[in-house]
Amino acid sequence: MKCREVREVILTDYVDARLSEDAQKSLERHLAECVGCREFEAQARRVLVAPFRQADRLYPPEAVWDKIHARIVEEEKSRPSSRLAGFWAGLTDRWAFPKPALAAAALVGILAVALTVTLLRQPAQGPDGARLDLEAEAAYVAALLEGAGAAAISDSGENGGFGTAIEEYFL
Amino acid sequence: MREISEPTVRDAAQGSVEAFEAIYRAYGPYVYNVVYRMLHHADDAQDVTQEVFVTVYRKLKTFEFRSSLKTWLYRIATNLAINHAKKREREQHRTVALDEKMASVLATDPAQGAVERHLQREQVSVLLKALNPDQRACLVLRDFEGLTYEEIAAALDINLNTVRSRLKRGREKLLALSKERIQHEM
Repeated sequence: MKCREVREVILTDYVDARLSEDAQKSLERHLAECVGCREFEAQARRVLVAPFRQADRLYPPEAVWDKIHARIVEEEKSRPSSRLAGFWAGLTDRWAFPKPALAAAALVGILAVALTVTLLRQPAQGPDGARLDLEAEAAYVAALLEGAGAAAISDSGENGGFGTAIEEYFL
Repeated sequence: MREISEPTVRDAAQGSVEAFEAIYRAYGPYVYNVVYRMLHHADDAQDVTQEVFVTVYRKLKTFEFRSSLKTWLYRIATNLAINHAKKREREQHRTVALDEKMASVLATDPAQGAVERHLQREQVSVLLKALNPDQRACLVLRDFEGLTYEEIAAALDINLNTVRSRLKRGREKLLALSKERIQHEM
């Protein structure tokens, strides 16, 4: 191993005790022969290992929890508390669609309803055809009325009150 | 570290303040330690610790137990501390204060016994501030908290090679500062 590689390993895997047994032996052999790397290793232990091991564990003052507690209690109060709000929150949690997808779906729905209404309100044919239909319907209604009048007359007639043409046909 | 059970975490996610306090009591000192070592400023460390736990409370519903709660907490704590440190370092007056403190540390005579140990600890904290926040986070998690490289990678969401390289560069810088101190004394 070259000195540069040895020193890189000392700063990471060696100091952190991550070397395999073979790698450790190989590094120690190099240290036994190289004064510069041996001094480097001693300095690394002194500067990078000992001070950290002596460090005390620090504890936060109780005031930190008091402030956290006050903030989360405040947040809990401002949360939606009604059953409906809870139900809605449950639904949105369960089916959490991304907002753009939800907006696109709503737009498609609105367009579909608008198209259906427009088609239903539009006549099947053009204006002339519509007029013809109306005329035909008027003639049919007039014919029915005429038939009904005839039937009313014939109630006392030969066929015993079965006045319509269809009835007459079947009877 | 006292382990927190899954039902306690779920209760806290549902809004139980008692369950959340149990989480704070178990992990608060670890979070505070990391944040304090990152910032080396008690008031800032307390504020950031507070932010960490309020953030945890809000996000606990999204915690899916894919990593340990401890790793998740370290991630939030280091992210907030790194952001805070970067923001602070942009403020010129803090940089001047650090330079002054660094000069006093470099001038410190390494006395014997308890005083020496106290000074040594103080020096470590101050010297750590010379590192960039990303390197500092790796060193704090490794050297103060004893996390493995794999745990650091998970906590900081970086790969193992980045962990190794940040540790190496950070330690190189600490060694360089230490040499500078020795030369200053001579």
